[in-house]
Amino acid sequence: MKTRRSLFTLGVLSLGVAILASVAALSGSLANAQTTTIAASTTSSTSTSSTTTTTATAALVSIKGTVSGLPESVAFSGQAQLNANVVTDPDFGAPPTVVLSLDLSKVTGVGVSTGKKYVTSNQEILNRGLTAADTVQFTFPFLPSGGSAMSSRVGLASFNLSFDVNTLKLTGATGAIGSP
Amino acid sequence: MFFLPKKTSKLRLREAENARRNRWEVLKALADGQVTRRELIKWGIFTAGGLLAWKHGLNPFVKSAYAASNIPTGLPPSPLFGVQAFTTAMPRFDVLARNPNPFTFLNPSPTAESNQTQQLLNTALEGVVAGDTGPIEGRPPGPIWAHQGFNVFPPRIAIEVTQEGAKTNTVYNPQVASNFNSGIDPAAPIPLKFHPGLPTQGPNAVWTFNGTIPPKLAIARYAEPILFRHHNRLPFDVRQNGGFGRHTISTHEHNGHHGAENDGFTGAFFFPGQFYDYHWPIVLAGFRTINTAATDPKAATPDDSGGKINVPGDWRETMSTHWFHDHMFSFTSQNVYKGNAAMFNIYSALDRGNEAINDGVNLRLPSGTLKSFGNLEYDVNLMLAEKAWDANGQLAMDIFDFDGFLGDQMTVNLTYKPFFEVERRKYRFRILNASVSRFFKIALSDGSTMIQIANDGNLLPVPVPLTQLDEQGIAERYDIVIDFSRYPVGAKVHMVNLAEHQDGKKTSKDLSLADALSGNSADPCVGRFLEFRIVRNPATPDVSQVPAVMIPNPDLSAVPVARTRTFEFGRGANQTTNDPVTSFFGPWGIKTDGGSMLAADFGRVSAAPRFGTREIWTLKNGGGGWDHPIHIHFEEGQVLARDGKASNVPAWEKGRKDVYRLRPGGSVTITMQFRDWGGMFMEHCHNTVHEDNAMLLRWEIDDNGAPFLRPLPTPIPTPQGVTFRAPDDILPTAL
Repeated sequence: MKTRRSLFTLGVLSLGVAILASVAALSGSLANAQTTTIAASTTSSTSTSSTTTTTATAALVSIKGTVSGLPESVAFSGQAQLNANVVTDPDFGAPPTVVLSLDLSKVTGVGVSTGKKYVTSNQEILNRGLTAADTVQFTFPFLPSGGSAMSSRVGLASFNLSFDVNTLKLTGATGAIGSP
Repeated sequence: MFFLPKKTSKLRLREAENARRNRWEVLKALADGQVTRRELIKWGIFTAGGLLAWKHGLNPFVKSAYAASNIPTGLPPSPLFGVQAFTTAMPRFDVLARNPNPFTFLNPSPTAESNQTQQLLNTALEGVVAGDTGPIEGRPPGPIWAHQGFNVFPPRIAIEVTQEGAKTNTVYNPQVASNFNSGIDPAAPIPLKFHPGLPTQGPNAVWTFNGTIPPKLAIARYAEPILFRHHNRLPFDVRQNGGFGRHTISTHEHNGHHGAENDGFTGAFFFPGQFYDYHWPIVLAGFRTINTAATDPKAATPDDSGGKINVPGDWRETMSTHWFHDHMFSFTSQNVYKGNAAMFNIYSALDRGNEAINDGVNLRLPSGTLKSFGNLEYDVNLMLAEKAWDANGQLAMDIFDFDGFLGDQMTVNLTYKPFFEVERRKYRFRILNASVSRFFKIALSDGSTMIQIANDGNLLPVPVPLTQLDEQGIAERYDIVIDFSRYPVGAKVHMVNLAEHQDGKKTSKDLSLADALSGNSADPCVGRFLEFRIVRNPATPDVSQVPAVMIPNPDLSAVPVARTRTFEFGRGANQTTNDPVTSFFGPWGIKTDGGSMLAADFGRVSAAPRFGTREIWTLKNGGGGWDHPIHIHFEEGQVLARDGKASNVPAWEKGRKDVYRLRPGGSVTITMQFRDWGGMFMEHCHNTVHEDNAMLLRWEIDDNGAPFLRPLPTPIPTPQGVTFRAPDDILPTAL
């Protein structure tokens, strides 16, 4: 189901999506991340009462944007690692569930005033219902590189996702970072 | 419970109320023994799979004739009697008294073997006739169920509690001054209400520890063994239950590293009029083989004067936040929901509950400074549980929702949407999901950062800053630190639930913070549920810390893997046994090592790891339409992989755990050791409706027949005493 649209306009952007058949491929060069299609791997598992199918898609999504605030604004860029497992529910006939994992650990920030490096290790795991278009939004903590966890600040990440509801595959993803 | 839309018509509300009454009549007849489950199947009220038949006016899954949406017919919304959110203070837990002389304080004095002194039985108990006698202690008799290590670890603290119907609390002990408890006067009587503006609960509506609220907190420290004596003072007549709940109980110290006789085994339940002595030695795992001379300074317990005393065992196995709750076979969900749930803080030299002592070992987590250990001023237990109540405000439960039960009113520490006053400094919150079937996902209303420091009973290797916690399954504990110094005095910030349910099988969707705060969710438990009021600056500087390194995982690289096992959790279970006491029938089950999907029988041995070994277990979700938080009793596990990959394990699961959420269609691979103690334990879904219907198995530590029998005989409790019989079944891959 579509939820609310992004509230911010700063730095929306880049969408490049990597085509990856496995998570192992994610460790490849960032150059691979600028391709424009997404590949999915599908696995099936059988329970006693039915056969549940999981269609897994892995992608690298280029993302950037600026978080405003004190002591300085921070410009982020990098690639978010996105795993989407679309899981069917033949037992109850309910719409498939999307188990989304969004990892920002490869996204880094630079202080606009000082040039200081900022990092986040944030990983978000969300359950969503499968829809053709979904907007996912979450806050994430970041801190100066080497800083204490207690000194973290907060940014906002937003992703617009497209799914083929017939093949259960993720077909498109864009991301942006802004201020919460 | 399923949710009816906010604009539900009166006609539909009446229909829902009628359906509820119909189901309760069936339940009452079942509970009273007027009908059997087999007869209900014959009449078409239950299906052969144990499900409520697909009948309108009876089954909540059947859409109402008047339905305007896809939300199935449910109970009427719980009335609020005009009560508003955030208008009453959240009470701190009620700390259970600790007596330092267990052998003289407790009468009769505790014994290693079960005390089989006979007493005259009440004839209201099932199967009892006038003149019958039975033992005063419900623990199974004999050497197999004797307290292991009772002489080596004799109890030094007695905690004595009752389980009984709701009554007013006149002895509340929060162990903090009133200004650390939002101004609550501990001397004022506390009637059992979920809010001062809501009705008082009747004695058969709520059954809690000591019959009172706030929920209870037990306090322990390593090397100080506890004798926990639990008296069952519930009604003798099984029918006197207010519509749900069973008067027989078994108390599980979740996830205690104790002998099985103290684990709250599901088949070791005891009756009204009896007590059960649980011996909790509070030892570090590995104490028989690691650091046996107690020379490691990090393996230590706090003394009473700011120092510490070394103890044997592996300091990397130090545990902190436990809870204890009922584990009655097939009735855990009803009894826990009815109030049989409490928390248990365990203190160590590492996590001693004193933030000022700087001895090079103490992690100095937020707590307080007044006492040598166990300060609670800035260390706050939170028990989250959503409830439902009927038109009279009495606690209600629909036990026919075999896929899970959801309430529609959020409580924290059994108080409806309360507020809590805090100072401008760091606090630790030990958050327990004490729901029946609901998952939570917690954020702060301003989206700011929380630091997760522990998962389940265990401090993490490193703290994890998060703005949204992961989904928290039933029985999981998340310890977090919130620094309120970032807010001005007078500010308010709320805890918010982002996880939306449509039924009890799993979350339907994790919402964004903005969506959760919008008030548009059909799930009434989404949104704000706890208000923090920042009321003052601290009187003294905050000296607490969140260190960059806490407790690394035990290094198991030198411990060979004895074997691997797989467990698949799914539907469509078969029941291969028909023992009326030990087996149960329901739609859920567990497939072990590729065998049949089996419904629960605590007389069946499904796995028997060898004593002193390490194994790798893979827990698989057999479906995509539900989630299962799987609990494995006894010793902590390390998560090796999710969905087959180590890289899928998130930072907050890189410590030790005892509950493993599988996620829809997912799997979790863990490693565990089986050491120190013996006996029979359990593995089950902690969505307790799934557990009760019948997603539970028994495993036991196989000591090859020395000193115990192989396999262990199954206890069969009756009011007249516990008998034993051979296991109903031993799976071919168990041993």
